[in-house]
Amino acid sequence: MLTIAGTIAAACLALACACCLWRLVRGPTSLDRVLALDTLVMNSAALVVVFTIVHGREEMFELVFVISLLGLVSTLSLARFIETGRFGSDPFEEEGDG
Amino acid sequence: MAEVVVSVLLVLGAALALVGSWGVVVLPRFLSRIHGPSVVTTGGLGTLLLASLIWFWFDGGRLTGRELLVSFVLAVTAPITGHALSRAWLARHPKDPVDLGPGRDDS
Amino acid sequence: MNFTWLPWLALFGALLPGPLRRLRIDPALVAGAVATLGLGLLIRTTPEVVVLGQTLKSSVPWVPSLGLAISLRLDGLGFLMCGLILGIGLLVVLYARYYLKPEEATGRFYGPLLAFMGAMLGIALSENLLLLVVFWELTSISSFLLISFWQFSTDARRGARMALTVTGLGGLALLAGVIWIGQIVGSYELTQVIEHADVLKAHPHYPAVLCLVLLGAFTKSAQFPFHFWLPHAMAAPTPVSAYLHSATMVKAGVFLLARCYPFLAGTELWFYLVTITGMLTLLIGSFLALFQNDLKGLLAYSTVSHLGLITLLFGLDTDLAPKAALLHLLNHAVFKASLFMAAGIIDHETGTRDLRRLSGLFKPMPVTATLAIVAAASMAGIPLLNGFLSKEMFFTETLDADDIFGRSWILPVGATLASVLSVAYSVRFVRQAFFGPPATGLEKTPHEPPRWLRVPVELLVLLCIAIGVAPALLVGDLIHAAASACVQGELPPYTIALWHGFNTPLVMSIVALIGGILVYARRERLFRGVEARLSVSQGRRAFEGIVAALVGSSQRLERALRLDQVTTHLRGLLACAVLVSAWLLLPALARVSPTNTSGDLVLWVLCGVALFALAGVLLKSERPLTAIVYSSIVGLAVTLTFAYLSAPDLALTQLLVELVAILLLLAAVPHFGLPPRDKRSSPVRALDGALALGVGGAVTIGCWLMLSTDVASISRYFLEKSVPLGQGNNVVNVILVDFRGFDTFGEVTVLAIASLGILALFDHLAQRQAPSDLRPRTPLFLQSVTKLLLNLALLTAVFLFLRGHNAPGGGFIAGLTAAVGLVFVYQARNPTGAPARRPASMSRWLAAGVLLAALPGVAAMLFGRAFLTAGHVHLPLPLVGEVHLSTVLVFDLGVFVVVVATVLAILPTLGRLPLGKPTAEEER
Repeated sequence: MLTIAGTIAAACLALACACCLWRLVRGPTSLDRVLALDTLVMNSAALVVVFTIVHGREEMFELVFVISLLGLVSTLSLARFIETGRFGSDPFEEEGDG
Repeated sequence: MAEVVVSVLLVLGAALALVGSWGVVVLPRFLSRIHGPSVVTTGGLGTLLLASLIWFWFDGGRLTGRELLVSFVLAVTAPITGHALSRAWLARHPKDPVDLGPGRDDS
Repeated sequence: MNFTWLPWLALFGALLPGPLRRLRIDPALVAGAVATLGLGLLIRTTPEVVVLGQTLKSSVPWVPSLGLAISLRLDGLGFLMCGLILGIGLLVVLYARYYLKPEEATGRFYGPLLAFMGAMLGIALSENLLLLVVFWELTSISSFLLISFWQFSTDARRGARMALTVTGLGGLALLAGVIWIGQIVGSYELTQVIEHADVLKAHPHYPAVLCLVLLGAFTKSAQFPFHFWLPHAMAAPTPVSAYLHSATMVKAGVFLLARCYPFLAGTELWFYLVTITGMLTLLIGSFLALFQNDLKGLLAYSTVSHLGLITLLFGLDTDLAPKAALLHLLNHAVFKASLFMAAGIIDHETGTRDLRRLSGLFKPMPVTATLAIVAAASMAGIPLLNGFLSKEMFFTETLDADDIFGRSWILPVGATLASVLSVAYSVRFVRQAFFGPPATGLEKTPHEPPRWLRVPVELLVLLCIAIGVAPALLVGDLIHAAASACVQGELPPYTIALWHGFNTPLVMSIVALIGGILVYARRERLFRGVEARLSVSQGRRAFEGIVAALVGSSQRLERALRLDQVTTHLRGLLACAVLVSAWLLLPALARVSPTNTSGDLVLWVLCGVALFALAGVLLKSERPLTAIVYSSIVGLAVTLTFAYLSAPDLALTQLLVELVAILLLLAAVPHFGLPPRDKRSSPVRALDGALALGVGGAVTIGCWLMLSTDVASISRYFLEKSVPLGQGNNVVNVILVDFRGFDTFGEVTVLAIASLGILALFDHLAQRQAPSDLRPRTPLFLQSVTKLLLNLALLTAVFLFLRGHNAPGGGFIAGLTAAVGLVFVYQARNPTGAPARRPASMSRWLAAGVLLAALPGVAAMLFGRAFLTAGHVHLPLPLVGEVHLSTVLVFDLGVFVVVVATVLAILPTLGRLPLGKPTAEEER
């Protein structure tokens, strides 16, 4: 039963990851991509949790912990980078608004 | 018994995460898209952690604080992420109206 | 202690002056102590070496496979050289102690001086020819440091570079020659080579060998046409000139001639090459010396001419010529060192060395003047002084030598002419510096120097007179022993004496004296217009022309091959990689049978995601931020793959490295600007595409081969031995810190060195502090959360570190965790990445980390175990669980410190670099 539930959960999470990838490709702004990345990181952490439960591999828990703690760092750095943009007019900002 | 609860929680958490990510896809404006992951996906992850807590408590016979710690960290970090992203957005697009009337979001 | 200690004493002593100066102890003390101790050691061998003429030897293998051994010999010749090096070295140290100002970087002076002394002693004592070359190059390097001691002076830097280039190239030629000798003879040991001298001289390659060795000797002893570096080396402080350019380094070239005399000399080719080079150098040097206005320049060209004289003597085929040469080697060192020191005193007390400005110094400084006059008289070859003795012997030998080009008069006439010129410039030196009306317009009022600045000169001049009056008594045995060692055979009986009767050499001397005075008196009429044309030395012009041509052609080559572009280098590298892998992999491919490639669905999906994101990186490479996001997804997919394959250590490492990479790229991206527009032509694009496919194919095939070939895996061994041998359950960590600890130690060291390099490269470019308008205030939400996050990250790091030996974690992972947390604080506080404090102190942390990692290894060695052997203790701790305390933990702590320091050194430094304005090309 747990295995079935785990498979369903993994499938859901995979679908969620696919959603994030769609947004990543679509953009249209860099911030959308950063948001997609952030969501993807969270979904990955969720995948690891499911894996931990289903396979009983407790030693993976450090990974979840580090992802949750430090996954934030990449998102924040990217967001702050875009916010304060070291170029006068940010050449990385792309065409159009969301 | 524990297995049933954990199974339900697993599916529920994953579904929540899916809903949050789906929000990233379908919501039309950036400021609304932020809410998907920062609220729903975080909730999904929390549910999964709860499942983990219960499972290793009943199945492994050990109650550890690590799930609670991760949940705490998530609860702290998720709003920060959302806040930082919206700040960045507003810094780049100062004209984007923040205070929206009802219904505008769905247009 | 015996004579073998001599070089090492000085070389290890060279390490002391720097630290001593920091302790406010005068480094001259060490230099003086080393020289005195060395002299003591040397004198103790006098009975055997000088009186009995024995040769002392000792040998320790160094690199036996190359024939390189630390074998030393002390014979009469080496004794003479060592005596000069140590004796004059001691006087020079004493002189320099009072010559240099105390506030100058004396540590940087005495260190290279001692290194130079050690290297010279090594040359004098080498039995192994390769060892001799090693010491030879060491003299070039240490003399470079000494000449450029006053780094602020362009002349000093240029002169040092010129000296290093010329003598360094000569050293390479010598190395080639020595290796060739070793190939012919079958040994590099001097004794063996001398035994096989006949084989060597009869060998068809003998002329080439001879030319290479002579090239080394001639460049070092400033023989024509390589003489030009010596006058430019006069930009060195005077003690250096007195030591290197009169007594020792230039004598190394001549010494080499003496060393090679038994196995290279005695042929027609040697006779012509050495004699003619010596004669040309003798004449040109003495002629040019006449026109120098700089006191030291005059002495430098005079040195060139005297070195020519010694070289000429070694070229002659008479039995006594080597003896005359060695006597002059000694005499010249004594009087020229005293003259240089006197010139230094004049410079020191008057502020100038220009002979046109100096005048009438006899009155204000009578003692110094008297000393200089006596030394100059010795240089001119006045009787009762040592210079006269060797000059007389020189004349005798030129008369006895074979005819050159069938003419018997060439050598004697040339010798006399050179002596005339030598007398003329000596007179000019004395007359213009010390006599005439009192000098006006000097920066300082001339007066006698401090007592101790003059003592070395007094001793040397005393020696000039003593040797001149009683040569046989003082140096007879020494020169005899040296000359016997030089020719490796019996010498005809000959006593060095003041009076040999009224003969032709005496007439030549008298002619030279009178002629020299006449030439000086009528020099204006004789050499009208010559002086102006000699203002810039031809040698220097040629040297700089060659250097400029080399640099120019390299630059043209660089432009022609587009070497300034990274892509060119990448193409070359990758093409080589493809070729090598094709050569290695394609044959192996045939032996592989197709294997089961079905695999797991999850892995295929993860692999697909990674490929998809990789495509994103490539397609979006012109939008750096997007590319960064895509690349981090590649990392995420790989992390999940590792997690799925139950490799938590790898997953953690991958995740953290990915994070650090994002931070690094964010810090670096602003400096790159926008990538330039792709201007490649379509054939080039096709070529690049093919190259990319080739590399990708090679990697794919390599991976496939590795995965499908059945090789006895070593992982089973590690899995089994991890607990019993390494006392740890986490095999990855045990391998890292214990089984392969030495590898890790090497990697950590490399990492620290690389970070130091980055710090050195960028630190001076970095802004001390960001302008305040570039530093927006930290938003409140970040202020409130950074501390919490930092503490959590550090706590996690400690946790991962402590349990690393038994569960996922370890020094590297913990280091990255802590570093990411710390860098996050930097960035949150200041998004421009410019911290207020300089990150330069990271270099200390890097060093501390490497030392910490080495500590347990060294400790194990102290207990008589192999380097990095671990010791263990198990401790149960509350909360964390059982903690495995072992020396390995200290090692891992070193890794941790280095990793944290590296990240903290690189990232903030990059963030502090000023941004260049985007160029027009970038701003499209």
